[in-house]
Amino acid sequence: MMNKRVLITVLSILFLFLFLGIWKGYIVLNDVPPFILPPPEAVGQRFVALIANGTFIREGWVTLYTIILGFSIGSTMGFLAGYFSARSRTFEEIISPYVMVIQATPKVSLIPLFVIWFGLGMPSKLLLIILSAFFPVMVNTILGLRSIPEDYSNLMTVLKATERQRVLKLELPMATPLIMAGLKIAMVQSVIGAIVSEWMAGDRGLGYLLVYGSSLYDANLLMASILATTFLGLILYWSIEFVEKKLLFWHESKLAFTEGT
Amino acid sequence: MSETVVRVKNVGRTFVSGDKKDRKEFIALEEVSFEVGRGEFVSLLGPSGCGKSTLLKIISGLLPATSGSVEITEQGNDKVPPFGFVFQDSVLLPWRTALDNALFPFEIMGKREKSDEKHVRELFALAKLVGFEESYPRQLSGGMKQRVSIVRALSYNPPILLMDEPFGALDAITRDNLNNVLLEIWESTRKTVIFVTHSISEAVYLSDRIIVMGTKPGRVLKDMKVTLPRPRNEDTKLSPEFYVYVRELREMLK
Repeated sequence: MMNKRVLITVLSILFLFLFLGIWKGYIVLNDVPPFILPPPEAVGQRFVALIANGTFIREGWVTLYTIILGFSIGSTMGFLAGYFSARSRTFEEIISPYVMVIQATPKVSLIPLFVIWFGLGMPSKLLLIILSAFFPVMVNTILGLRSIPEDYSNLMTVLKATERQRVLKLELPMATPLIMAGLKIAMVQSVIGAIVSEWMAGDRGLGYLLVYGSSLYDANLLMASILATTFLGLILYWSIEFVEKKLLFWHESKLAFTEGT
Repeated sequence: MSETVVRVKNVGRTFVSGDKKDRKEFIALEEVSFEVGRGEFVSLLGPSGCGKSTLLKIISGLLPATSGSVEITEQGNDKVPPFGFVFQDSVLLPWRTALDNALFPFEIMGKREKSDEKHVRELFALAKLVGFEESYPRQLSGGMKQRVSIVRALSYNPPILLMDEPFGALDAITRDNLNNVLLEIWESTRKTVIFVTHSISEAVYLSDRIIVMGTKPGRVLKDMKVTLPRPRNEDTKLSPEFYVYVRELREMLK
């Protein structure tokens, strides 16, 4: 078993080198000018340099901060909307047409409007991220709460559980796997929302660096910035997964994780 | 018969579906009456659709009856019900260990004495679950999960045990094992048991009395005493008397 793991790791790393090799080879063979496609080592150097001079730390922090704020607000609202929808059909029927309309609208198309209303910067960015995070959390919260088998609820009735005990000791833990899945999607959507809104309406942040690089025809800066956004996305996604693994140690989907270690 | 603790009187239950124009009524139970004495093991036996599970839910108060009444004379209170309920699925909380699941009722009822955990650990021994107290449900087999769920139902020591096809989802071998475990638990705790099943041999093997139910509408066909000697074991199933009961019931349910 161990040998197989080593083999997978080695092959996986080899794959990266193969990719970098093809990239470099293509440039050398076709004599591609660096302002169109810089070689991998130049992108790497630029990436390190932008971290060292503080640009990525500064701009990355702006993006990170916006994402965390927008994600927190959006997913909390999504959770509450989902919770009350699952509890009350009437509430769901009242809000669902509006939620559908918002969800059917490509959210990027709202940014120009936000810019007119709120100008460039934080408010426009936040609004887009909130809208992006809201829906997946809401839908999954409803699904999670509705898919609890009836006999669990019967058990709570037999034991004369109070409403509060029902929610805290049965419904929320039972719905957690699906709520976590919703939060993961919401996080990915939030990162996309942040980069796109910084691109269109930003005056700061990693998305803004992309616009800046594009206007300068600086492919090297662009690729280094893309790398930075990738890292940011990965770190955020992994933090959610980390929380998920801690919360859902008992869930089937984590079976291999707990028994393999 | 010993003192009556559950009295089911002319219970009827009608389910209504559809809207005003296309109103459909389904009579699940009609004029069902029987009594259960203290310490008796009574099975409700019948094919699917005879309303036996519905009847058990009415007895437990999970469903209201459309007509008639259920009287339980054993004392519960506003926190503690006079019965424990075992469902068809084990309905264990997957984030709790077997022991924590069995202790769950105390957490809901808000009171747990030191002796309670001791009592639950004794039930674990009776259910042959020693060594699995700290296991999570996903680490247990179907049969073991159902045993934990029986322990949970008995944890707060209710005088009555209601069981809704508890072994219906298990394979035949596991089911035989659990029947024996249940008999052992019953012999040593002497609870009043109402046991819903569609298995003729299971009903004969376990019960003092069998309430045989028919369909369309769900009703009582016969109230049959089973006088096979106790304690019962695998040999009971090989006796000619056992077959007499099984044959008679099979005829009745044809």
